[in-house]
Amino acid sequence: MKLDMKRTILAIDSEVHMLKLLEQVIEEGSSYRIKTTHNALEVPEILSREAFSVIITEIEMPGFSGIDILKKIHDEERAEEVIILTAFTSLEYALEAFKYGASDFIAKPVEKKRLVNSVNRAMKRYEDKMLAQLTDN
Amino acid sequence: MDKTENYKFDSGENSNSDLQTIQKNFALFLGLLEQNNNVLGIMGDMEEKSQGEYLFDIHYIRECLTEIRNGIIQIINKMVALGGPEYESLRVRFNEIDSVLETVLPGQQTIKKDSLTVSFDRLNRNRAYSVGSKNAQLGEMKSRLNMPVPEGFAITARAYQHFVDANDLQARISRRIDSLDIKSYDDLVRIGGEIREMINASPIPLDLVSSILQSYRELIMRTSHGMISMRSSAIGEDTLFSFAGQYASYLNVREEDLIDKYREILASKFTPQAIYYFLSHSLSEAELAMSVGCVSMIDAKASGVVYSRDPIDPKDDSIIVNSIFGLGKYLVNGSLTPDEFRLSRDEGKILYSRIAKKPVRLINLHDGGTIEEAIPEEEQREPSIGEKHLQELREYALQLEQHYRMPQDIEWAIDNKDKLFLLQSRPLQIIRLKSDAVQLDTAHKKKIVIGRTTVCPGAGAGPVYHVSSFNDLPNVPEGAVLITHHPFPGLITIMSKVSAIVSRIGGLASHMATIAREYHVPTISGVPEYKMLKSGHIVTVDATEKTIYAGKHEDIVKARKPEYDLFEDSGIHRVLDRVLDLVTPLRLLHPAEDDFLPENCISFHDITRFAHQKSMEEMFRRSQEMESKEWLGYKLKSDLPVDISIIYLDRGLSDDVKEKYITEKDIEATPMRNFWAGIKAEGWPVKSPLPVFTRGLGTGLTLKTTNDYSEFSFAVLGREYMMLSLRMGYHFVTVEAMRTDEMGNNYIHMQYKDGGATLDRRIRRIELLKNILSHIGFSQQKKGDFLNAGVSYQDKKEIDEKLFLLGRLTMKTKQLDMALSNDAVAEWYTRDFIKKLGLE
Repeated sequence: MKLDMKRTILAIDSEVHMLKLLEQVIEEGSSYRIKTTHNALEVPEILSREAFSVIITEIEMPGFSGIDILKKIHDEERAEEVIILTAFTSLEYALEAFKYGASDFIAKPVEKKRLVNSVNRAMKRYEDKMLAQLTDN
Repeated sequence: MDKTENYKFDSGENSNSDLQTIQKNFALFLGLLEQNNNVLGIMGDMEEKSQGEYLFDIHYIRECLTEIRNGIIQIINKMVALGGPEYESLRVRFNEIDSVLETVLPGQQTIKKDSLTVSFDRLNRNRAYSVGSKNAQLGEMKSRLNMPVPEGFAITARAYQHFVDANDLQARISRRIDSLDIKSYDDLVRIGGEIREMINASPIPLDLVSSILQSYRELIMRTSHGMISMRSSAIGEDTLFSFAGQYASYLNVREEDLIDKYREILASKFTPQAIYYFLSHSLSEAELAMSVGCVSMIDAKASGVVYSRDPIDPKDDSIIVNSIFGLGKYLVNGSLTPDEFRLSRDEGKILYSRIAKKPVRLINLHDGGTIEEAIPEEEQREPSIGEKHLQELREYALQLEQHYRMPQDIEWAIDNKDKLFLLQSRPLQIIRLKSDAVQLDTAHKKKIVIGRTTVCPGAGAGPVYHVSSFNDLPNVPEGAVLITHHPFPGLITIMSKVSAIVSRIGGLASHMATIAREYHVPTISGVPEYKMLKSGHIVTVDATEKTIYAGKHEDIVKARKPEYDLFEDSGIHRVLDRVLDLVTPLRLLHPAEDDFLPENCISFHDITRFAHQKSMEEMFRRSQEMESKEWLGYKLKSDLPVDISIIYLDRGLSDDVKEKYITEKDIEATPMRNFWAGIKAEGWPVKSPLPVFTRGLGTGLTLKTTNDYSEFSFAVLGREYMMLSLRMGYHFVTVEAMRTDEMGNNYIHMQYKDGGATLDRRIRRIELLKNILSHIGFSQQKKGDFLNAGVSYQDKKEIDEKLFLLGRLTMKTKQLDMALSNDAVAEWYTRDFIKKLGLE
């Protein structure tokens, strides 16, 4: 059975350079659609309007952190898989990220293959989740 | 950890002050070496990241730089401790390179203390952090290159800071910028307007006013007239990003208007297009302080731009000159189509010329300002520049390209006395075209119109949308093909959403053309029938072929896609490349040459290279100066063309001072004996030396024939210890080993770095080494062309075997990088070596 799902990614990073690179990697290495924002404060509003399959986010950003985003997804029981892609790789962050169900915790710099693999895995998990929901219903 | 802890010096009965000095120096040297390896590792890592396979951010670059800086400072400290105060000059050079680095890296730039105004005579490019690149380059051209540049002075970034502080503007500006949504056109206009109003309502502090007026009066004393132009020279402008034409400039400003115009230029930092530009390049406005250049006006009879290369076809061997009558403004803002000339770089032969119809020119008014003047019909098609000046421009363009080591975009003017002046020089952005042109079937596609000039190659398709002014821009739909009579500055705000641009007039050298290339928007100019393109119709613009087709043709769009290396071309990669320019190139290659001097270090790598070399020499020189007045070092006597000096750590000088040589069979240190046996087993490669590509400073590679030199190599030995540093042709290898009865004490460390071939080949050689070493149990870190490998907890026999293998491997890989043209070749060699070394 093949699900007809839109496979979309939301990427959040306060560095616009990083978002451009992410867009290029995703567009080049996959067929997913990607949306980006450099303003983490916008994220709650974006999420209130739209659902995504995968979210890629930095942790340290002004106003609203990647951990805040994870918590939000977690607390609201949303379906998005969250990949942390960060320059700030403390153990505390990693533990907290996994506590709130991060799909992966990746340190910058990262090889683009590695990132695409991680996104593919997260996408697969997301699809399985959707499939399971469908079967349950 | 201090490596010397690994070795228990067994001075025994030979203990004396000489030996203690050797041991102390050796400890310093090892410390230096460790920092050296650390720094080289980080450089290798950065080079690897620059190759395009990685995602990284600005934090990464900053962290690497911090580590490199700290490492180099320690290296210099140790160098001074080892060799004396004359090595302080290394610190001077380090600080110079570091201050340039600071201007390359966005953010964290603090405005340095400086006077409020500075005359051009006292500027050079290292002052860019204070006066902006545009002013600094003019100073450089004037004071260092003796080029004809108008007189002038800069109002510094410090002055801007003073104005902002005096009026308490920064917090208010930042608040507004932070609240702005870059994708909202209305936001850009509204918030930009608010900030400009704020600035225009703020008084210029009195001390700044008087400083500007005084500099102005000094300037007009030096020139025959009082006409000046005022031009923005933002910090960061023209370095990583062109900012072409984003900020205001005013021509022929009168004394009484100086202060108001100055303030207006400061305010122009916040036009919608300028805000869009710096935010879309992730620059924060606070880091882009504004300096202003006040330049003596040239009463120009002709002006223009010269490109030292063709920006859309850099392989083309020509220099391009664009030229119009009167002041240059009408060329760079796209109001006029210029005359175009192409000259061969070497001989200056005119390869191509096209004289455009130039109906008007802009000229100075005597009491300030400028006016447009009609050109008599019969003169409109006259060339605006003659052969003599074309040749002069060619020479300057080549000279500037060479000086800055990159293609240049230079503005110029010729005054009424026929004298040529250069007004600006900045890096020219180059687009690489796909080398394998795809054959397209265009016979069955309907051509609508044909244009004259490819401004930016590529192709784009979408609905036609006509714009004539700033007011039309908010409604430009995503993916539109934008049609305009002439390019105008506001267009930048919609660059990222249009699929192509077509203009009636304009040339290759307008500011919009620069920006279109920067944003990769396929653009054609010189399309007289642009009105035949009807609003809403779908068209495909093939900018590469200057043709516009009806309908949407994906095949064209795909085929024409220029070969932008997505990564190398993105902003952050450019930042890294510019940083690497100051970090990794090696200029100091041959210690024997006269220019092997601290002041000739052009990069951090040069500094480490210099210190590495000199620390070795110093270690031996110091020994030499000791009581015995003789070498404590011995020379290894060998039939191989390697010059190796040896110091023993656990025995003093031989009683027989004449005995300066050690033969291979007399090497007492077992680790060295085994390694050397491996070297001898392979023997020196007999084939003739390959041509060597010296590491490129710019884009190209220069072919150089090599004499197969081997420089100062050395070994520091104990009975159970060896530290061998070999420079083999173009790479160097360091092997440190301990071999005792106690397995827990034993180890081998190996570092391998550099080479004569291009980076990709050197990286392949490192990969090959890594594969082979992993066969024999080495753990390793590879960073670009730097390999750090090690193995420990081995018994004596294992250490012996491995050292023997390393010896063989060292010879086998000598100059091998030249041969590793692709991965398949590298794999073949890997398999071959594994077989030949018996490691299968």
